Amino acid sequence: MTMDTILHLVYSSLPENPVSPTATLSAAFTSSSSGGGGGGEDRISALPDDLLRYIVSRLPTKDAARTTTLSSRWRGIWRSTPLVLIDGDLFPQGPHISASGGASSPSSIRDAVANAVTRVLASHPGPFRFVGVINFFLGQHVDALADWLRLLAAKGVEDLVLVNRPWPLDVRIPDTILRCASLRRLYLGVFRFPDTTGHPRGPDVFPHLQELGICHTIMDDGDLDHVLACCPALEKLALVAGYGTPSRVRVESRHSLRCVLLWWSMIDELAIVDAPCLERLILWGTYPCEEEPVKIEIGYAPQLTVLGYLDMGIHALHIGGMIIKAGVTDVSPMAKVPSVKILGIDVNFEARKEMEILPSFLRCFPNVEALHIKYNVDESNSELNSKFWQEVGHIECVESSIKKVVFDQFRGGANELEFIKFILERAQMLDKMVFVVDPENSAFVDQAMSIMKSLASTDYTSASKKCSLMMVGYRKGPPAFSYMRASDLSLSDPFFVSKDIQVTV
Amino acid sequence: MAAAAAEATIDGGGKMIILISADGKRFEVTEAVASQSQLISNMIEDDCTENGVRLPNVDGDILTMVVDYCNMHAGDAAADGDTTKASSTEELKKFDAELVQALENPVLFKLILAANFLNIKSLLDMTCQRVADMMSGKTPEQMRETFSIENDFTPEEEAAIRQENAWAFDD
Repeated sequence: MTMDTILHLVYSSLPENPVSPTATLSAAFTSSSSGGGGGGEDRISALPDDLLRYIVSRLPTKDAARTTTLSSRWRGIWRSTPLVLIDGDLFPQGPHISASGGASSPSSIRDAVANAVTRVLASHPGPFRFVGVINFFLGQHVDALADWLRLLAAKGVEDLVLVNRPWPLDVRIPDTILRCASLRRLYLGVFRFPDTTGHPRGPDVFPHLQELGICHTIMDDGDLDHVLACCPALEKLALVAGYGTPSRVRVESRHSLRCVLLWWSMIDELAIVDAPCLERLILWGTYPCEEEPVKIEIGYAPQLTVLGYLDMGIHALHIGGMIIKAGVTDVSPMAKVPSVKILGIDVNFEARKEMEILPSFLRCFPNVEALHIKYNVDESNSELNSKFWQEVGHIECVESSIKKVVFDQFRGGANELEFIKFILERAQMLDKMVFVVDPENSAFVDQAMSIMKSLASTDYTSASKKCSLMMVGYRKGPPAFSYMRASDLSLSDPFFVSKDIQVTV
Repeated sequence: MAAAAAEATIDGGGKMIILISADGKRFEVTEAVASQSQLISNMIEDDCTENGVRLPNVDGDILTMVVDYCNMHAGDAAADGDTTKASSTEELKKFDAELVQALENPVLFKLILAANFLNIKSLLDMTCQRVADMMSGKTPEQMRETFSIENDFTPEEEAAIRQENAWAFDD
């Protein structure tokens, strides 16, 4: 991955600014008095302080501070409104430059803006509702960074997003970060995390922290363990664009944790040892540090509902202390995760090894209702016995719980079709099968159409009679499955993306 | 009784309640529609909406807008799922955008006060955002002009305050 790709991943994983980026579009000043007064009565100042604060909290950083000079009525409003500081708002090109726009400013301007960040943090009494500083080459502002962290810790920051623009990659975040006890959400990008040795460990360190994002940041396994042990309220943990540090993540006694995301990260092992509230485990673009497979271990996670994408080629799945291997027809109850309802599978249908292990993986999740298959193509093709799927034994989820199967990047290959027929023959509860294709490839769309018609006209067992086959096209634009979708716990199925439905057979 | 029950079923929101504005206008809405107001929702729970809900600080013209908004958004809370709502979500966005764009001082501020009093968070968010949109990107002079805010500072006082937060005025 290039540094640009990595930065794009990091920036696209950051929380949204609380201040609407569309604001200036509708507010560009015009001479028409649209919505304006001019000679009218001052009604806005008649609003109670709470409502003025509510309005000021929605303004870009500079505009918010400018309200202090409006009148004596407004004098103290900004200071008593929890601060929203977005460094992009402070660059002179205008308040709504792109996420990384400030980094292209000349260094004299960046120095001035870094200085302004310090002054904002110093002049506002706190608390700080949101502080987003993502535009600086912090290697050049080490002293300022230290001042910021000191002020953030002292005045109480709730939501902090800090990204260092490379290079260098290993700017050390001051250990004052470990004293920001008011944090509710923290995203760190492109840093070296401080050594936690000798720092207090326990639930008083980050008593309110609910969401932690570690993005392309060097962090020892032990330091991550330390931080996790300090977050009794943590609900969401994300590792984004990680590069092998941390390499082993163990989630133990995390009684509040609801969602873990590994997003384009290099890692050796992720062990969910004890997470009684974990609902969602998202694995997207994980790859191993060495040649070994990435070990994904699921221990006690009785609420785990959404899991994926499990990569047949890269992940070694361990459940209940057992390694899930190919050819196991009788999976021990200890190695089953009955809570999983939505399962994403990443598989290369042309790779024999991946095909052979797929039935074993599916047997571990007896109650899956929605199965999302992502076709992962690589060169390692090898012949599969053409009768493989006909000879596969009982798979509980296929036979008694799967209602929907989605083939993302449907290609219509022989092994893929054998698997599809297998599902259609066995799945008693199936009511929908969705094939996602590239709508621009009209030759393939025609081919997929005739495959679907032939599948629909063949008389499979009872299942297929009530099952509808659907072909949908990708929607153009940004990738449909995104970090935002993956981490949005209000979506029941983050893998399902409603696309433009084209044909139902 | 039977007729009333049938009518309630058609509206889908159960019982009807009456809202009465400051100037005595009456609005009949379902409980589901009215409960978007946290204030009224609490009153429904406490069973004190029997004789109508008097809203002595909301004028009829403002309450008309509030009721329109709540009627439009009544399905919001109940519906879920990822796909079926797509079109109605678009409609709602359009409705909200048109409503908020049309709002002018002083109606905008009356609506903010009503949304605050009735405790309808989504309407309060939307209207306060509208005010913020009207302020952002402007100089203090332009903000004052937009909202007819009288500057009661002496030039010296104003200069001193600017100096305190000079970083906010450097362009």
